[in-house]
Amino acid sequence: MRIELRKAFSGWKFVVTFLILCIISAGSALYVITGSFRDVFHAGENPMLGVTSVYKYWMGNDWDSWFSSLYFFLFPIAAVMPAGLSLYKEKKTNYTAQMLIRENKNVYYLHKYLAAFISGGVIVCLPVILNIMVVASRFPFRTPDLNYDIYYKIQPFSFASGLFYTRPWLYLILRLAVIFLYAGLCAVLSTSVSFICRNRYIIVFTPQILFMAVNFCNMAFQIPYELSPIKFLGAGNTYIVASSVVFGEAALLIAVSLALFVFGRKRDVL
Amino acid sequence: MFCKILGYDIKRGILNSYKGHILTVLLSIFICISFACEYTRFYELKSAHYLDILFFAFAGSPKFVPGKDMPFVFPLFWATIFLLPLYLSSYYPFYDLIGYGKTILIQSGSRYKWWLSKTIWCILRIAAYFLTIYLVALVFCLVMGIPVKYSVTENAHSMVINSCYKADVYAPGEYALLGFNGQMGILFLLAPVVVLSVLSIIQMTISLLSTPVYGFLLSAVILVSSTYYLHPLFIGNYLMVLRSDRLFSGGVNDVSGSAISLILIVLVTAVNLMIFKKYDILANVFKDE
Repeated sequence: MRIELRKAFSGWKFVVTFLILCIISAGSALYVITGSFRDVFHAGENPMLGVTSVYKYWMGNDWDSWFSSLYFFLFPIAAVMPAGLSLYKEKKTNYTAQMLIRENKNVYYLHKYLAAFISGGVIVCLPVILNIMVVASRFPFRTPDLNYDIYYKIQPFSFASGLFYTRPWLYLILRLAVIFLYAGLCAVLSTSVSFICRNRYIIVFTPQILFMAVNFCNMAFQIPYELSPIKFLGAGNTYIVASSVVFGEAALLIAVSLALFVFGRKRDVL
Repeated sequence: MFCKILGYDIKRGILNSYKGHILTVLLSIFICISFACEYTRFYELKSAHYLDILFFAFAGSPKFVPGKDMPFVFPLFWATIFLLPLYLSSYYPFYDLIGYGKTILIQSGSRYKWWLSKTIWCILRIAAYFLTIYLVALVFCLVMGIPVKYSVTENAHSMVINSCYKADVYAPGEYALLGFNGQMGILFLLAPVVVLSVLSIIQMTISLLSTPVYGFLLSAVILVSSTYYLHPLFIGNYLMVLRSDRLFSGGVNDVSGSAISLILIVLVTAVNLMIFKKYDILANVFKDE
């Protein structure tokens, strides 16, 4: 497991992708911070203290800049970069065969999946935490005020909206956990696709194309809930984000990954 | 020799890549269904025209003004349509270089010919993608009894405008709705091919210098930033109907967009040829594999 994690976290792809994501998240933070300096001239009219909060300006709630949209649009590809292709490469170079005669098959695959999940979650979640830290250097962690609800873009009855106004720190942790979960699942899904596909680009782009297709269904069939993680993980959602959709879709991704793994393992001659 | 390489690329990278064509046809069917669902909420489907489907698909998003209590909603529907061809054209040159292309590159005796062939291939791949969308939309019209007319109806125009345009967000005369006669011009169909060809060629360069994924990321950054900034230099603006100067004052002009894109194609190709002349491309490709 330690070797798998070291492989995932030490490659140049991890470093480059992590840097790209950090630049985007820092861009979002700097955008809201410089914006707040411009707004200070109107502070005499209404300081709107309820709005000047990290909970309003962190990346997952920033609907004023394109950095947040870009970040959550690219996260499925970014999550795959550190370890999503690991199994594909090891199968191609026969490294897998070498490992399987030294180690239990199930343990080897379990470690592969865990490393993919953790590395995918970490690479996407860490820049978001960095963004929160930079935003917190300018804004306080002030509890959101329901009177300013139009500024928060948290729709009534949407995912954990009650927590947002009562225990916002818990809401923030929950949102981060969901981002981690989805990023991890993207990497896991790609690892599973490695069992049935030999094209590395299909492996890398499968989560992204899947989420874009889900968004297309939203549009084509006029479903009143936000279905695509690209939309509901960030702030650019136009429909209600239902908790059942958030967790149901995660469960579905796990089921699909598991099914691909079982199917792929049966076909595996090793 | 050049014609032989190009013919080989067209055969292997366009005619034989049936999976990519299936994906394009599926996407086109989805576009047509989306249009039909949206249009029939307000009007009779048979009152639509052929061009309405493409007008709806290429709508994009209106000009964004930060700090006006207007959320930036990323047009994912539009982005999917314009990112898919970039994805489809991303991996063939790379795969070719690690496969047969390596031998052809040596036997042709000219790096320029190989690279020029790949550049033309990129343009043809993008053209094939849009041709598929246009043809599927045409078949959809014939099946559903929609008149095949090259003009946008008043219904489709108001449907697209009313779905996202809010006049009170903009300063007077800043982004005002203009009188529209339904004519979009032939560049409406050609501009996406020319503009995306630029991105595809840039993407190919990045792909061969690093990996195709980073090339694709750069294209995504250019397209996403274009949805945020309405400026002639952000070439993604030329791909959005809602940024056109036919519809809004201060919009971008598709003639100048196509001209800028053509100049960029020539410039990028020239720069690429200079880089490719000396660059140890094979070592870099195998490092990634």
